[in-house]
Amino acid sequence: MTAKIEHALTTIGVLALQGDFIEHESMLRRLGVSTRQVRSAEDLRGLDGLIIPGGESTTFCRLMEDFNLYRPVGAFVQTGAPVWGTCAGMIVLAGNASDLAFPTLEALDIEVLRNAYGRQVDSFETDLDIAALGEEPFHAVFIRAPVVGSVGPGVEVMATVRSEPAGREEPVAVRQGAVMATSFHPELTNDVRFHSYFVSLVRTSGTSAGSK
Amino acid sequence: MVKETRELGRLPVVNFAAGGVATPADAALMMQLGADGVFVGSGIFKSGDPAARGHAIVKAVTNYNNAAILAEVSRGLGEPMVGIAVNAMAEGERLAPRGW
Repeated sequence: MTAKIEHALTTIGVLALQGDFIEHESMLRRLGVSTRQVRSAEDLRGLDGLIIPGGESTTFCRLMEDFNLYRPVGAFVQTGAPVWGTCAGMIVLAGNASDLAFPTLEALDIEVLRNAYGRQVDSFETDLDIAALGEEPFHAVFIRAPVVGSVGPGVEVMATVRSEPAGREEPVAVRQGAVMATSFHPELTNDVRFHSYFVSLVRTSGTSAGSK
Repeated sequence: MVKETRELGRLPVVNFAAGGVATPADAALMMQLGADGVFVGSGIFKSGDPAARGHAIVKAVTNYNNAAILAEVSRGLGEPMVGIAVNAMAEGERLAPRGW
């Protein structure tokens, strides 16, 4: 890790196999963070954090397998560097995902149910209270989002949405140490607070040499 | 919207390329030219091996700037979709002389 001290700036990678990686990059750039699109194991080298974006989880996993990325991305998560998955990215990080023909990275002790909010017409937007982001509600965009069925004891629930059919508050933002996941898409709004929160996680984490 | 476009340096909508894309190289070229994504229909389904070509084009779009991967996924895909030459079309099928 000491080899990273020469990095003056924080660099956050965005897995760029499929999905809305460009939207994540533009949010990070607005915060003055340098970004790198990750398509191979070499692209992970020297990164201070990683975002796994939204997309279509089966396609995503198939491309991770085709380009031999399961092992390197899993190893990156193991280093303790902050990692954030949005929507399909949450599925990739989960301990278990229903009906997924591919393995997950098992980096978060949660079980997710794919497409459990329903079809495209059931996608929705809502305002969330997220204590970590301050008092102002966060406008969250859910697009064929996964539902978090259960969370393990070490997982902090950062935000929930009331599910009427299930009659309970369902977690939509979770964090376990340096691994964070949201079932919604902060990158599709103009509100940079969630990205700012992740950047601060990256800058305060042991593996980061961010100097700002 | 004009102001937003100037700020972004691009249109604030997703730009997909479509039409006549028959090879992984065609799809990669669209991405190199600035498209956000590529739609392919007959380029896949009118080819000799649609499943292989579909996979290859997806990989080409993901790695549109990686020549080594583009070369690799372009191999062994069978017959591509064949275009229709104007000379092979009957007079009545040609749009230009037919007029409206």
